[in-house]
Amino acid sequence: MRKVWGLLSAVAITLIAAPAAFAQTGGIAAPSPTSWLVLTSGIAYAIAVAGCAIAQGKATVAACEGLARNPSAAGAIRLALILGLVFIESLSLYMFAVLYLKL
Amino acid sequence: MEEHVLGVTKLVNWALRKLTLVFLSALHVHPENTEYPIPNHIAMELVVFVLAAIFFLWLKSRLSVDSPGGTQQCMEAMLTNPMGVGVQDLLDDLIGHGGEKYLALLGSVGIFVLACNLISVVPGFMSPTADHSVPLGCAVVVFLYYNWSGIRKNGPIGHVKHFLGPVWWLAWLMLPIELVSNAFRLLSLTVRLWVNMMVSEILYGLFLGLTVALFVALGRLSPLGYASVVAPLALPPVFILLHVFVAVLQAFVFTILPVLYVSQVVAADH
Repeated sequence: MRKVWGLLSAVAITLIAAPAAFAQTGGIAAPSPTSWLVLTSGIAYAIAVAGCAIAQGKATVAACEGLARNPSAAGAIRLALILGLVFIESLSLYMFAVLYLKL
Repeated sequence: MEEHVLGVTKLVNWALRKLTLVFLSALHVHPENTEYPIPNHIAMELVVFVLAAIFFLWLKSRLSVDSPGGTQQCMEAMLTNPMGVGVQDLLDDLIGHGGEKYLALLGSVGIFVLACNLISVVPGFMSPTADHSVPLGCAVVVFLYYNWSGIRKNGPIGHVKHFLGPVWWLAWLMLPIELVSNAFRLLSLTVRLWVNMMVSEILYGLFLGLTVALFVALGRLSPLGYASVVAPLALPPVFILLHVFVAVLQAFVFTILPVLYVSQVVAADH
C-alpha cells in the first residue's frame, strides 16, 4: 500500500512539475480570447459533469437501499430512480447546450 | 457547420418548393437556401406527421372492443399499462378525478415526441427534435396549454392567485419565484429534449468515426489489421441502443412533466 502510494505521488509530482521543466523563456504566445473560451468551457463542463455524477451516485445508492429493504416496491422504486436520473442528466446537458451555443 | 441535405428533404422540397417560396415571400422572409427552402428538421417533422396520420387512420378503421388486434393492444399499452407509465395512468395518478379532458393534447404531444425521437433510427432520417426549434414548438404548446387550463378552470384571477403562494404575507416573495420558475419550465423542457437527442446522435457518430479511423489506421499498418473491422461493426450499435433508450425516456419525461404542470394548476381544492 505504501509502495503504491509512493508511486502515485511520484507520478503526480512529475506531471505537475513537467510544464515548469519544459517552459521556454518567452516562447509560448499569450492565449488569444478564443482559446480562453475553449479552456473555460472545457473546465466548466467537467465541473458540471462531476456534480451530476455525484448526484446520480447518491440517487442510485438510495434506490438500491430502498429496493433491498422492500423488494415488493421494486416497480415504484425503479420508476422513481429512472425519473430522478433523467432529471439530473438533463442538468449536465444544459451545460452542453451553453457550450454548443458559445463554441 | 454546413448542413447535409437528406434525401427526404430533397423529396419534400421537390414537392413543396414553389408553395414554400410563395408563402415565405408573402411574409417577407428570405430563406437561406433558396434551392431547398424547407430545412431538414421541418421536412422530417412533415414526414413524421404524415406517417403518424396514415398509421392512426389505419388503426382507427380496425379498432374493436370485442377482438382487439395486436396493434390495438400495443397502442392501448401506451395509454394504461401494468407498470403504471401509460398516459392515462399518469393522468389518474397525478390529476385524479377530471384527468380525461387533458388526455387529447398531452397524449398527442407525447406520441408525437416519441415518434420524432425514434424516427432517427431509420437510416437516412434524422430526428426533428435534434434541432432546437422543434422541441421549442412542443414546449410552447405545452406551456400555453397548461396556463390556459388553469385560466379555464380557476378564472384569470384564480390562476394568478395560484402564483402567490400559500400565505398572503409571503406573496411578495413567491410571485417572482413562481414566475421565474414557470418561465424556466419552458426553457428546461426545450433544452432537455433537444440536447438529449442531439447528444446521443453525436455520440453515435463519434464512436463510429473513432472505430472506423482505428480500422483504417490498423489496416495501413499491416494487412492483419483489417481484422479490426469487428470494432466499427460491434461498437456503434451499442450507441444506437443508447439512443433508442434515451429517446423513449425523454418522450416519457416530456409526457409526465406537462401532466405534472397541469395537475399543479388544476389542483382540486378539498
